[in-house]
Amino acid sequence: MKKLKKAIVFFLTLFVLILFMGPFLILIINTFKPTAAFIKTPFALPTKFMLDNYSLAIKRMNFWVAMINTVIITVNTVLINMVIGSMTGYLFARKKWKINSIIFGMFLAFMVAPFQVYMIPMVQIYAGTFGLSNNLFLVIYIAVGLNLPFAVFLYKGFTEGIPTQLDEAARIDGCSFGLTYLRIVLPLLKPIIVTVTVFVALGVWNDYLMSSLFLTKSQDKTLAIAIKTFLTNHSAEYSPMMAGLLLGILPIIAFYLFGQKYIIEGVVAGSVKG
Amino acid sequence: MMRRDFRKRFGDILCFAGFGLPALVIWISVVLIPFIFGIWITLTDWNGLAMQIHFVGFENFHDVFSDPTMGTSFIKTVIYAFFTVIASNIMGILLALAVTSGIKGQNLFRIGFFTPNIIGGIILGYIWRFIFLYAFTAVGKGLEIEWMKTSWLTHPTRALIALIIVSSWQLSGYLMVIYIAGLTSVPKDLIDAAYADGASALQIVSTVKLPLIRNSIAICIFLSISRAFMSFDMNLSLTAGGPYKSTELIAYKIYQTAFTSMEFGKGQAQAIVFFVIVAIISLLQVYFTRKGVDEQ
Amino acid sequence: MKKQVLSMCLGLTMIISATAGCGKASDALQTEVQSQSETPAGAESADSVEISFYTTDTGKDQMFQDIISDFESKNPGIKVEYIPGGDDQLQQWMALYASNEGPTVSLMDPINIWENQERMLELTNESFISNIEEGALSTMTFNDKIYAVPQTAAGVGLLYNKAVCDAAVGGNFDPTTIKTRSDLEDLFKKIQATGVDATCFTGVNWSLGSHFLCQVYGAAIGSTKERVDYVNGIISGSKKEIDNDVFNGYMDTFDMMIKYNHNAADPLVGDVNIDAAALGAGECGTWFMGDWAWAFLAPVASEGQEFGILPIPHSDDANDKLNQSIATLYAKGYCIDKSQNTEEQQAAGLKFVDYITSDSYAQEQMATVCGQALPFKNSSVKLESPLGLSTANYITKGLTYDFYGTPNLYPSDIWYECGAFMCEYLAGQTDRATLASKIDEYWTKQEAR
Repeated sequence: MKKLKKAIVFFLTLFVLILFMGPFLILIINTFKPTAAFIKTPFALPTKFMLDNYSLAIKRMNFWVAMINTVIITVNTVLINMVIGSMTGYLFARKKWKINSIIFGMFLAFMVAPFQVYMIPMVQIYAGTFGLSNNLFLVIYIAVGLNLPFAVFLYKGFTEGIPTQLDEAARIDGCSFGLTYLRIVLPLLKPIIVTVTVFVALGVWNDYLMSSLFLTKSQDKTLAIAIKTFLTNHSAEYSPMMAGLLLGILPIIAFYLFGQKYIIEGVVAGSVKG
Repeated sequence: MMRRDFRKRFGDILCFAGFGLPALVIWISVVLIPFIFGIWITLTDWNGLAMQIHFVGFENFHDVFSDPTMGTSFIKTVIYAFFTVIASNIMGILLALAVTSGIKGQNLFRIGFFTPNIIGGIILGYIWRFIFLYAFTAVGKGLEIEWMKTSWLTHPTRALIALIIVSSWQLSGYLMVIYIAGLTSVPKDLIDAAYADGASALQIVSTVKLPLIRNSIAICIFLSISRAFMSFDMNLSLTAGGPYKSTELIAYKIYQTAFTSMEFGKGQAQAIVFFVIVAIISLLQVYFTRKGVDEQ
Repeated sequence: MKKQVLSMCLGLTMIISATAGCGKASDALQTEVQSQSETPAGAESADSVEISFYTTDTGKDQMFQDIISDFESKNPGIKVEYIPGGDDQLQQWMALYASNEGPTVSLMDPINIWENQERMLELTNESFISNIEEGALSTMTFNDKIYAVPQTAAGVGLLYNKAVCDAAVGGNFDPTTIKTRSDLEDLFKKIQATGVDATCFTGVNWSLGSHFLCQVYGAAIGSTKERVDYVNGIISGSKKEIDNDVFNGYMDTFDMMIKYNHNAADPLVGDVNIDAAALGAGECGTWFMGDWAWAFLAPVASEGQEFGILPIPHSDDANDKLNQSIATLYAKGYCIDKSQNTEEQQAAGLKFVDYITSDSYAQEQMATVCGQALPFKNSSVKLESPLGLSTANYITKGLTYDFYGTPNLYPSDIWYECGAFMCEYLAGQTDRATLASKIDEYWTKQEAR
């Protein structure tokens, strides 16, 4: 009976998955076709296995340089964001000071501020006044800042789910606020760290608008900017563009696969203690 | 006594300086200060390029409130956000429940449902345009369904529905990940105990799992509200505001005002008005769900 | 406890500085330092100057990069940094100016140059101006001062597939036989009789709102001054679109064409690639577009197929020369910034503009890749695009008029705002009177021209 139910759930999920993956599969098959064929028959299977779009994407996008830049920006942003975000989330979850709730409220409110409102002033301040355009470090700094409220929001929410008794027990054992964070809270945050990391990494990896404002020189381009080379007036060279996109997200998919393992490990560790 | 008070206070300050200050400093420099500059621009006639800036007072705000298209655009955005938030959260929970139920290939499923979020940019919108143009119309013509014979994207109401469908498709995989994180922290012995009591799978979901992931639900609703109200990429690539500006959501409208009409000050003013409204909505949502969680 | 918090802080700063070091290690930061010292010290060595070139003509990265490297080899000591814009062209331009890195040379739409003229270098007395066709300069001239140089001449009109038209008229189709709206409708009827859709509209805002609608403010109104006066009349509210014969004339043609629209079942589907494929495959005989459409047509056209451009007639007067003329757009121009570039950079920028408008290699590249006629007197390049050739043909016969007239005749958002009204009309959701009043209302929000 239970087995049958599981099988039903499995096939239902599989069906939904196929619906979900449809557009993605269409993208994959069309990377093997010329653009003209994509426009005429987007759903047809490729007649022959051609990799021209991939080699074109690697060449025209200056792919490896763009990839390295994107990796530098994403990895640094994610690491800094993780450290600062989880610490602040912990502080906000454990210390119900007035100032903390004010700051947290501001973080939340400004998460819905349209980026267009402050992007041009931001460029004027950092690139104009400080002359920091085409500087990867600046892009990392801004990416950290833009993603912090989101990270703090999630970390705070999940830290609140960790029983305070654990903290108190640690405190009795002589752990300070900081040590409690390091020894008790941080290990329990693993699943949410992976989740936040995946989200932030994705956002930064695919970010076009912010990085395009600061990175104009060709040697500093990221993948999301480089893909623009396939845009034409009123149209685009879709097939190499899709090939470039697909190549560009492979590291992210690999990272997500890798992260999956940790989500489960973190959960196991959590349930033993909980 | 005094001394201990002082020490505690000093400790608190250090604690704040170590744990809260870095985030605060970065956030103020990256978001708040440029934002305040942005507010100043709303009081000027700056077009985004001019060397001289003229102060015009609240004229831009007056323009925003007297512009009827702003109201229609806002209503459209609210409708869009309402349905997108509901659809994507229900779908997100269902997907999360399915992929944590212990079925075969769970991990692959999780990646599969998440893929719509992995690819950014205009290309997914373009692929969906082809799906609405070719696949849907082919089905419509084949089955003689009148409202599926022409592309949904050329009909004002259907185009908005299409936008909701595609956004929910993308967002539900995103929310699923958070729901998974929430569901996996539900203690297994609780579920086992419920099974032992003879509860059905449905009862376990509604009486054990859902109440225990209230926190995740609150988070996901907030995130989906903010994502839906800020929706820009999908709006641009799927409908570009069309047909005839009937699906012009606020974020897209603001962009057009500032960067196509070259009325930068007015675009900023629209954005500020919009921001204030959405910030109030989402803070209220957080406040009330939080209250609900605390009262439990 | 204090100690531990302190050590946490220390650890944090260490992490930050470590990651900062990581960023520094990349060569990106080094180039940043260089570029920072370059701007103020640009004058330090007169024989080496770095300029930037911002282009909003998308999808031609290879061509521009080839042209730039040819320029650099012919002008040692000048380095050109290539900055391509996308469909977010204005936003990128604003960002560059906000960064204090305004491009030395920008290829922009005339209206944007006009909006930003206080930053632009006046080019009136430059030697290369004499090489530009006089007719092509009006779009780039503000108050009798020339601020930019046109890139190419683009022709707007009704593209036709000659084989389809040949079959319809039963013989060799001669485009000059179409002199009036009725002539055009006759042709449409004949095409339809062969079982092929006569014409096609791409239901997108830029095509209808910018290219079709703006003919209404074209040469049919009269001289440039009369055109500006007419637009000012609408802005002030003293004139109404619906009372204007020219507006009604073009809309009559529009109505007539709608009856034969290939996309009639779903008029706003709007995809240039699909419509180009339809014209190439002979599923429709004509298509309202411009000669830039060769980029979409070439990949689907087969060897030996012939295409050309027909004018859009606005009346039934066979003697009206305008019914046999097409509108030419000088859609983009090269301008030079003087507000954020040193004198040396401006001088190098002038050299670059001189080169790109007069050098035979640059012209050849431009003509081949854009497939459009070049408004340069010394140009002798042969166009491969049949559509570009058709435009060039109209130009030599003197059967063209300047679509813009003046750079600021059309506001920068007319394609978006009025394009929506035109799409609504094409979809049959509104009548002409409503359309006209909506356009009137749009204009009243604009400043006098």
